[in-house]
Amino acid sequence: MQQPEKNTLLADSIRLSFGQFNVLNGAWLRSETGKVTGVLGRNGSGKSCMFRAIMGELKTQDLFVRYNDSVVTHSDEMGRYVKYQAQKPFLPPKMPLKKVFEYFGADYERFTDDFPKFAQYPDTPVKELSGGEVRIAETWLCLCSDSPFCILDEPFSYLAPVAIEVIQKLIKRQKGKMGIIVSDHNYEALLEVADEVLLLSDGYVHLVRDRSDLVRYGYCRG
Amino acid sequence: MWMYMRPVLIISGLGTLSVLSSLMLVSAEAMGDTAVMTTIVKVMVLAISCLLFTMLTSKDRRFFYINVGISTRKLTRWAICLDLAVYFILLTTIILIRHAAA
Repeated sequence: MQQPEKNTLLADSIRLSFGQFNVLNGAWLRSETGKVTGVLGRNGSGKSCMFRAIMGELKTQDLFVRYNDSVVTHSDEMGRYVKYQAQKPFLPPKMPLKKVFEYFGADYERFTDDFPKFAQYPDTPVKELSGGEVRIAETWLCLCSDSPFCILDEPFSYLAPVAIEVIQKLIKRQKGKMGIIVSDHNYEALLEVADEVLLLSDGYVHLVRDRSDLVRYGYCRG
Repeated sequence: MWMYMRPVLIISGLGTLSVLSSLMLVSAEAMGDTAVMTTIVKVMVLAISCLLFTMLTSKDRRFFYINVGISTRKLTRWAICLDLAVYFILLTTIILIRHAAA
């Protein structure tokens, strides 16, 4: 059986400040095909800012991004390598769901295989779906795209436990084809799928070896 | 481009129609000065609508276009260029027609 191509993504030396307030002080993030990287951090620690910076939508003081052996200098290129599920809904509200899938080059039938409920929604505009349903569609589109990487910013928000389990299964299934970066405050669900966990604290990224590290960095109580 | 920049193109298009219709009402002699004034107004309308669009549009919505491989910066640039091109073509046409009529 042919092994999928192994790709690597590295974002390093990310420095971001708003006036006097330093958000990121040389933060870094790495991912590779076959690996799920979990990113944890308290509210306002700069996780979403880091993702937006990597996607080229937030101007930083310093940022270095490398995809395999090539340095990514133009932010317009990032969409080709990374699909990003933003924290808030990003699908056009008036667009029918099936059309959204056409834009992404994704197969709606495959989506309904994973989430049968959506078989009734192909012509439904995004705005008529519930927040959780939009979240599921967005997560699926990012995870099941042909991109070598995807970043999921709070994919478990607004989701029922059953849907979280399906998304977890989807992450485990898709990680063989791509590198996945996940951030969520539902850290129990995140820890179940993550192969490597990073914690963002005071603008620095720390590698988490076990749960005691989360307590030590003040992310949760022991 | 239409899907993303629709509000800007509609407001700016209405601006184009109103400033160009004002050109139709002035005398042929005053057209030169009026054309300069209307162009300033048109560019200001375009700049303000672009600024409001940037400020009021959800930043997360941009990720739809980024994810499907479309640069929102390029879309904005193309929309501005298209809008100005249409404006200058119409402006030139009106000036030429009115001079020919005079």
